[in-house]
Amino acid sequence: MANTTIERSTEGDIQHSDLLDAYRLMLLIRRLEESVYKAFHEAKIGGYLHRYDGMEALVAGIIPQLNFPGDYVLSTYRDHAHALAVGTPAREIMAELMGRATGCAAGKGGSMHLTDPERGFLGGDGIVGGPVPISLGVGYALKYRKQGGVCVCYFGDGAMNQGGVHESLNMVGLYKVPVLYVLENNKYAMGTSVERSTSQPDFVLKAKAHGIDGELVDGMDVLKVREAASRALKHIRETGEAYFLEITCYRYVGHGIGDDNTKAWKTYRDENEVDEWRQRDPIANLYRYLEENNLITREQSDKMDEEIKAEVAEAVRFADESPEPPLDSLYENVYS
Amino acid sequence: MATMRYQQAIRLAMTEEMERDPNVYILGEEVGQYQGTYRVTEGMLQKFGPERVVDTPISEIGIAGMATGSAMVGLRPVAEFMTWSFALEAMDQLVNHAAKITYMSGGRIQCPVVFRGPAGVGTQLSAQHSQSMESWYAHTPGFKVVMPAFPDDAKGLLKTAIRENNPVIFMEHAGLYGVQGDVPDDTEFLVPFGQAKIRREGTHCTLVAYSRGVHICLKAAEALAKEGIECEVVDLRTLVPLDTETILTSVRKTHHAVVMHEEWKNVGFGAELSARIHEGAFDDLDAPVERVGGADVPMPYAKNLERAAIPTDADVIAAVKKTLA
Amino acid sequence: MAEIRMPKMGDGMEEGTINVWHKKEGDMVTSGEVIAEVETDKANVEISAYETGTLSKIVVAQGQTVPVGEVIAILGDAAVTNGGNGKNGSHAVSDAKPVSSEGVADYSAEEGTTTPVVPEKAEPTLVNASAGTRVSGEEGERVKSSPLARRIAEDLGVDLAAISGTGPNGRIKESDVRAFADKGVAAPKLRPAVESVVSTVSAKPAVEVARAAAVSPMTPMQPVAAGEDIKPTKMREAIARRTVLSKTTIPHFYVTMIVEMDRALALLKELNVDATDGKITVNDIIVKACAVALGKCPEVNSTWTPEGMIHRYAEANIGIAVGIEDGLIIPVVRDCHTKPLRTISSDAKALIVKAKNNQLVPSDYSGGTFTVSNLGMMGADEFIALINPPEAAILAVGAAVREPVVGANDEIKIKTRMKITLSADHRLLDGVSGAKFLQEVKKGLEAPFSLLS
Repeated sequence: MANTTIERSTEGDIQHSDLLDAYRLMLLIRRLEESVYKAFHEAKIGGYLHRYDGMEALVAGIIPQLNFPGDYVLSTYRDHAHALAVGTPAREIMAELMGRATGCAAGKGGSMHLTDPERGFLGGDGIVGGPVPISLGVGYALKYRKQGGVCVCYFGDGAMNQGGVHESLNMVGLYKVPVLYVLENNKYAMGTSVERSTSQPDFVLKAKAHGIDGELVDGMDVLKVREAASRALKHIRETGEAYFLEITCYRYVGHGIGDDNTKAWKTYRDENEVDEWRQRDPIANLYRYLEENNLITREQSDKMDEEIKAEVAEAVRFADESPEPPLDSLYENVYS
Repeated sequence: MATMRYQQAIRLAMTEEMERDPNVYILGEEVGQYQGTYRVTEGMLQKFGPERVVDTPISEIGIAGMATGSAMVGLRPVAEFMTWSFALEAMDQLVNHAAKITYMSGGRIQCPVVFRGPAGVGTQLSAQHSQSMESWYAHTPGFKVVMPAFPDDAKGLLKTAIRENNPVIFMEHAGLYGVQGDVPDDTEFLVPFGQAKIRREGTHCTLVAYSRGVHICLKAAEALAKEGIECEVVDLRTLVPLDTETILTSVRKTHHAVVMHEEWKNVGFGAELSARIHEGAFDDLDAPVERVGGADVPMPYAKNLERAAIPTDADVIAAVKKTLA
Repeated sequence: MAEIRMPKMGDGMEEGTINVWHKKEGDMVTSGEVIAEVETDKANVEISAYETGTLSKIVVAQGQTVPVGEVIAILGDAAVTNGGNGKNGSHAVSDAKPVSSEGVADYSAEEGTTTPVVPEKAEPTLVNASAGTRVSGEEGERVKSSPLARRIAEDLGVDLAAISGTGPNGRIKESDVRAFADKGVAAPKLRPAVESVVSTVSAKPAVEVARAAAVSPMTPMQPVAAGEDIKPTKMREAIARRTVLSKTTIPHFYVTMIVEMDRALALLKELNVDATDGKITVNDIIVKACAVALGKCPEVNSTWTPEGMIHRYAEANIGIAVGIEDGLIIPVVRDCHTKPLRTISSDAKALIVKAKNNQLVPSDYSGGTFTVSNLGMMGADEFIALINPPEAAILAVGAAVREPVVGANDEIKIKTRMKITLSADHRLLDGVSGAKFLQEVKKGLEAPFSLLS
């Protein structure tokens, strides 16, 4: 697979600072995700753990274009990146992963349920396809209130085979509500490839069947993601109708940490395949673009990386030193 | 005070709350143009328009998700399931989303949604449409579960449900829609959750029930009174929160209890009631708590079999006599 | 320097075994490089280094098993540790715990992580004092009773073992206890002779008639008890020996007398108004009356010796028959002839408590010269007791019952009356001396202020 060539934006409204911000965000996502396995192996994190490595452009190309408050984000259990993108501090994310009182869900949610409603993030969702019916409701509320706003709903290729997703997309198409769907097509529904799980792998076609327009985007190129999302968001804000982006991407690691610990991912994909996708790394691609356009130097990049590593290390330290939730909080928040 | 049917009282509650709060809207299958399968929402589309009275496709997951999602960002949806049997389709959205989002978010997201519709058994609807599954919801932390027996409670409890900041499972009974009763006109008539009501006082045996079971128990109590046995009938009104204290106070007086419901007896809500009574009033019991519930079978179609599967006043009377034996 | 620890490679992983070290001490290791293979209960997994450096020390040797989090190797800084590391050799951990690899996650509350509210540690206690668990044979046959019945029986001081239950399976119900307490009798139990016949006869006490009439009783069959042989307890054996001895060697005769108890009860009521350390009971005042009577009738306070002599006791040591779990025991209140009523009362109380708790020592129940057996609180109207050898007599006390009495002028009065029956040894006493003793007891109880001296 050849390296993707990044072409200059056709939109022209992308600022240099936006690109540097996107680069920084992708690096932050990568470094945070790299740190979580270590914390898990040190028994500081429990449960399931799903990393976003390789898919950073899907978040960095879209969420920074949203306005909070007003817009909303819903995501799946692979949600660390989305929380970072809306602005949830890394320390609150790490604290949540470690089950601490200072976590963004007070230690009640964990990795799959990062939440930051004040920043528009309505949470990760542990159920495949789960956020899509919710997005219908959020979208309906935005339409009902007539105050603008878009709901961005992330979900995976595996979710497209869930019944509730189609019920909801049908209603979204029917009621015409302002939702941007981002189908994170990373080729594998857990450990089953799209080819082996999906009779019609043209997901955009499926969206169109529900009356929702959409397009296919290369998710290894943050500029392309950004452009497509920019157009899609404009369309949604103008028409009030939903839009569907199928974004191809690749997760470098296993579905979850168990998959990586046991190297079970080798049962469904080839190491060479992973290496090939790594050659198209979205962060490296963006760096090349920034360097070629004299927007960043290696030194600047390294310095940024060191700062990010320090931020992640500080987040780990903060979480480590944070108290566990008080036991009497067990029965709190069952009801509002 | 006006005399009206249970079904009209529900409509009145929704109408009043929609007039009071623009965030309230209703959605469901055939709630609008068709005027509601049981005519509960009759006239509401004409009154409030299609944005606030939303006809949905036959898509229970979509309905539940739409209601839950819109509640998470501040609307107050009242979603109708044509019957609670169909809500089984939406169980993931109900149990894994609506009931848990507040907890999973550490209290940062509220979910003020009402799911309502007819439950209950009878009228030869057979296995897939004639069942009562309140204990499924009562079992799940995060839901409040409401089952009114009378028109005034139907209004007052539904208004409380709509103003509640948590997901409410509001189970009506198709067999009660025609029941008449006095209903307060007051637009602030709210019946609080967690307060059972003594529908009949008695000294010999406490009958605990809800929804149509209350009517069955009242009938049984009347018959027993002719034999000199005075039963106290406790109408729970809400299963969650449960007014354990009113139940225990009654049992401490009568020393005998029969718990009754239409849903299956096995692992039914009556088992919880029985356990609570044994835990809270063991030393006051003069006999084990008796349970009356539906036969543990999928509801049969044939009339005679169906009759045998649904608990009646005769079953309650027999249980009372057994506990007093 | 960085410590490499045994990683948690799965949810339930508690420990791991180093299968293979892919690196040896002194080797360079780069971040992400596989350094070892670890065996868990579920799979063999590779572990990689998180940092770059020199593997300066292997702490856990191949084949060793250690818990998650234990240091397994030390990664030195490349520049610093590059030199002197060749001579360390193998470092097997000496304290690596051999742990069974059951692989079951331990959800113990050790760290308080799974149990939110840890209650005060409650020592398990064997509760056997309640009437509900009373056993009447060594096999522990349970007296079935409702929780309410047990509570009320305790309140009323009624022994459930004496009550026949009319509930399902003979369960004693509230109504049985109240009937027993009110009437002094157990509600009659339905005992159909033929198992297949369900009795519809209401046999409930008067207070329950209304309810009984309304409820068709569905009293289950009392199956005829299957025969079985039970080895008696030591106490039962002792009772058997002594009652046979009594009934076969002592020529008993009996005298009954009625005592009006109104004044005695009124006095007790007054005495008990400010009672701080336990009330004086009817039985206490009877014991006192007996002590006084024994002083006046020394022939009753005597024994027929094995040598055929009559021995008169100098002191009046009065035994009190106490029913306990396995039967009966008779602790003795000593020197009653010298003790005031309140002392007799407190002594008796202490002895009864000890008896119920099986704490009596032989000196507590030996040396009696006379015995009082009272079934009044059990609702017995009157009864006849067997003499407790080698004593000369025993007094059986029935219940104090309010009843109409024909007065001197043929008027009807309501009096609280109690029947007392003396069982006496005819070798020592005759009808007249027996009756004389009873008259003295009666005199004391009917003029109770005489007992306060």
